[in-house]
Amino acid sequence: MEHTPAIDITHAAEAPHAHPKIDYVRIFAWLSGFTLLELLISFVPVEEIKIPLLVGFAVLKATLVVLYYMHLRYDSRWYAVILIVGIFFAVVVGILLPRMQRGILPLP
Amino acid sequence: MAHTASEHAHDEIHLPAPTFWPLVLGVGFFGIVAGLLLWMVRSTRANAGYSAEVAWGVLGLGSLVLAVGVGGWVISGIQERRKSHAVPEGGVELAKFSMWCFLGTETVIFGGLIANAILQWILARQDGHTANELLHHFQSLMIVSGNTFILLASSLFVVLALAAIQRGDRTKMALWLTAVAVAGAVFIGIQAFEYNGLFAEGFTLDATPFSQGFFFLTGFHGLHVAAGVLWAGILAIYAFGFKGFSKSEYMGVEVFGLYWHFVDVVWIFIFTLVYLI
Repeated sequence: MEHTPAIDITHAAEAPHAHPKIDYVRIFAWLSGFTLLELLISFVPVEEIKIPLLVGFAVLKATLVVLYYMHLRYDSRWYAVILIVGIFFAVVVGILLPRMQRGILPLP
Repeated sequence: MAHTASEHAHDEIHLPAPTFWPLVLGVGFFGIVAGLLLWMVRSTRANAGYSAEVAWGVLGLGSLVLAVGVGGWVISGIQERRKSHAVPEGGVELAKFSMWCFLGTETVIFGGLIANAILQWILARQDGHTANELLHHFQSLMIVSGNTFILLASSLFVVLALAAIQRGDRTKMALWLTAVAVAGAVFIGIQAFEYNGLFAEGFTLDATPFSQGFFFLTGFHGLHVAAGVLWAGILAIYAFGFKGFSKSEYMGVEVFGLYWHFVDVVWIFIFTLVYLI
């Protein structure tokens, strides 16, 4: 009988393998370009425009790094699951912590 | 149905052999925290009963022990993997899985620290102050932008190091890793310069709640960069001096890369949310 682990970590990530050829320098050029844009946007006096744009660029840059430099696009989906769980709890902490500090929620 | 040894090996989760290096690392951390506490007490109380040099000495000693602990643990892990090639193929990649788990927890910690810094910024604005005004000066922005480019470039160096060893070019890999260590060290140096300027302007650790949040966040990130510099240096030495890593054995570099890119991603958010907004 075939034996399959409940969570097949080993199968999810087999022996070291070279990732598909990625133009890392081009990714770096995009990241640098977005950073320059962010720097320019930071001088925009209207916060309603500035803040969403800056946050959007930060998320875009982080996504590029995670997908291509950290190879999440080509690696096992389990790694993505771990990251998503981490982000979920980070958001929970981000929402709860300020409320605790301001006394809206009791501190543990 | 009977299983062959290799079939079983694929299904097993390989646990690393017991090692005392985490204990050394823990002692190092303890030394760092003790040194920081001694320094904080000394800076607030004139009659603390010891000089500031004692605090710096404990901090330095703790850092040294931490460095030895990290180095020993990394090298012992790599050596164990090299020795145990009978370990299932997937066993090697469990190092990567573990690193992702670690990064998942780090995401939560940094999420809390970033949320705290943003909250203090909002509260200060409600009180009519611009909490991060000093960080918005053109000169400050240029300094921190330069630092951001350095960190982004270091991420590029890491993937180039990985690509080099995947081609079997160990020398190039070691050179790129050295570049990573140098870039990280420059980042810390510039951050120290930035801190110095902020201190001179009265923006100190205990100046405002925002300054506390800022220094804890950027300092904690800086600590991660420092650990990464150490790690990159160890990997470079291991490659140069001990002919470590090959075309088929480069997991140590890949796992380090995950860590370093994560530190880069965190900085991307700090740069935007703390400095630019």
